[in-house]
Amino acid sequence: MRFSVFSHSFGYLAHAAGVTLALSLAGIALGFVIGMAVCVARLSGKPWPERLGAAYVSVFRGVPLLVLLLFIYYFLATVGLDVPALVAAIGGLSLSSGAYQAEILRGALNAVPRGQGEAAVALGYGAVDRWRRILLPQAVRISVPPLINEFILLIKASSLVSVVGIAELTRVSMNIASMTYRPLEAYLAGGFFYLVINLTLAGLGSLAERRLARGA
Amino acid sequence: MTVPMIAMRAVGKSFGAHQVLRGVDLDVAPSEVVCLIGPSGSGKSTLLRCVNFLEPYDEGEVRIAGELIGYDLDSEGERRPMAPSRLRAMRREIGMVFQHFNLWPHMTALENVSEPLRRVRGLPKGEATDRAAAMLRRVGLADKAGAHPLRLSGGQQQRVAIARALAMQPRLMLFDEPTSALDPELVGEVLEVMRALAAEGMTMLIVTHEMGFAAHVASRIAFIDGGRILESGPPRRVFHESAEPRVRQFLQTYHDRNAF
Amino acid sequence: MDWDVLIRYAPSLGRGFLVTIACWASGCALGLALGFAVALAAGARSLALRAVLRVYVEILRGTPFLMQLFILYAGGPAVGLRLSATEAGILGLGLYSSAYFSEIFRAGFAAVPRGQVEAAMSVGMAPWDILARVRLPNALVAATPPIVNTLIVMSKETVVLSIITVPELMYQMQTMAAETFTAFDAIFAMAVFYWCLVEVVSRLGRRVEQRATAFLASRA
Ligand SMILES: Nc1ncnc2c1ncn2[C@@H]1O[C@H](COP(=O)(O)OP(=O)(O)O)[C@@H](O)[C@H]1O
Ligand SMILES: [Mg+2]
Repeated sequence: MRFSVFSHSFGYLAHAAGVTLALSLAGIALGFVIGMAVCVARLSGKPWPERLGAAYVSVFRGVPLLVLLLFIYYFLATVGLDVPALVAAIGGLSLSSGAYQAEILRGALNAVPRGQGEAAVALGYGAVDRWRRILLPQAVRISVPPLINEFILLIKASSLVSVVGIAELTRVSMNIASMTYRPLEAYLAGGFFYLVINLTLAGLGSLAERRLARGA
Repeated sequence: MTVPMIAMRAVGKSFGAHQVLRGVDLDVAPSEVVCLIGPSGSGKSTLLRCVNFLEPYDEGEVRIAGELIGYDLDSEGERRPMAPSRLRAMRREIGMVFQHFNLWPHMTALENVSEPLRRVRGLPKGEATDRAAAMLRRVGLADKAGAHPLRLSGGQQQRVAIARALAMQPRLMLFDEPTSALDPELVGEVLEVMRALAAEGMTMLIVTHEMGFAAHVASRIAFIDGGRILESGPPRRVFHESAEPRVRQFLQTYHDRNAF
Repeated sequence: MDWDVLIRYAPSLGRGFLVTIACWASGCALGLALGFAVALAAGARSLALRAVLRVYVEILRGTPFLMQLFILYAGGPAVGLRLSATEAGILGLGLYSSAYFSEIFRAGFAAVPRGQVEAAMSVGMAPWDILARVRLPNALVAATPPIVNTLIVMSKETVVLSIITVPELMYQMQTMAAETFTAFDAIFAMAVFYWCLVEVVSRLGRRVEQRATAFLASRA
């Protein structure tokens, strides 16, 4: 084990970790928009939007992310776009995450006790107020811990965008491995950065969960 | 005089700083039926669970047919935990029926009864099944042998649970509010089984809120409050002649609640 | 879509598919066994043992599968661990999934109602019998849906093995694409194929779930 690999590569890896975080943030944010739309479609009560929403979830959860990334990458290349790597990376992450987030949001809405909506109806709330004041605020709270968990999964998944050549944490670890001929040290160092990020997030997640359990 | 089936002497039990049982003395003679009544949180379940050591007591003694349960005494009279295998051997002789039945949901009614016979009594499969079937017949559930617990009513589940305990041929039976989780119309079928059992001479210690049943079946009523047994005696005396204000208050509340 | 190419490469794709299935099955079998052992050991009294297992699970769940594969395959030789790509892939999948499976089993054991165990204790059952006859079957029921789910997730993770050159389906497909310049068609076929595979496996999984939990359906 040569520890100088760790100290020399720290700067590169820290920077690459920033890229990983930025990619994942973009993916989770765009994925949230997609997920919301898909969730609304699935709960709309109208047959076509419901079917489309279900198909979206089925396809983007069924196709492995690596396949999805390469598909977008080659597709963009075939139609002659010039920045395929970054677009493929963010597109792949957000399309895939959108499917998972749609399910998280749907689960959260279903977890709001039925009686609450009924109580609002009984009190004379209109549909908009019922959603805005009663159902959504609760659903969002319920979905915070699973969304943080989804963010962790996405950060790990983002290591796959290394295959389209983006200099994020995994790619940079690979470069360090091949430059130093010290793959074990390089990958352990890279893995350490992932671990720190994810454990921090997991800590935030359980904090949010405890807050939630305490209610109010 | 005969050795009591259950003899509790100065039994104390705490959960952390919270003392739940304080100096409990209670005897149950062979073939006696003792009903334990008292307000919620008074320590009834804890007392019952000390009898088969599901809850380790920390002071005093609990003896089953003369034998100390849960602890061994060494030559200096110091207590140390009993060998697990001996504790299990003692528990085999003590049947327990729980408020929430605690049937094993992945086994049929018949398997719930035959399982302990096979694992604990070591009976061969055929014999265990035969004995289990006979037990189910005895509690009126011969036709439900193949049903899984969650497909049975609460009353039926509780009768299976009684059959499971009885099949082990225990020397005494403990019941912890066996009818409290049941819909009112299902209470009777369970009490009927218990009444028959009492008539056959089974030794029973029963936590219950069924005062009518207690008045008719119990040889003795014990009233517990705040972890102490405040009154103990024949049903007539406890129900109608008690001088203990807590007992009268408890019974008054009970009457008010059930009057209509 | 160029069907001639697909037909020409059918044998190697078929072999790749078999490798995919083999890696998936053996990796998950390893993961289930390891995960079960970890969950059982996590119930031990020893604080040190529990801490070590916690660290094991957190590391495996906190880092990308691809990183773990690199550490095993590329980093292994530095500590005398020389594995073929396929061996590293199977071991990696086993370790990675074991973290998830152990958490599932742990939650399954925790979900067994206390009263069930007490009922077994009250008739004098021995700890081993209580584990085998009461705790385990109950835990498995609670664990079946998430286990099925994790098996599906892992079936998708197998494509990552192509990156360390395990000759599974994705790898064979990329080889074909490189040799015949049909990248887009190839990847499109892969997408459709995995989508179908996951759909089929999910449906089978739901059936298994229903079987395993049938007795929990309460009275109609
Ligand atoms: N496992 C436990 N840990 C802490 N406190 C307990 C536990 N079991 C019971 N208690 C407390 O002991 C008291 C007596 O409980 P219990 O014997 O169940 O009462 P009862 O059966 O008469 O309603 C209650 O205050 C209860 O909260
Ligand atoms: Mg109680």
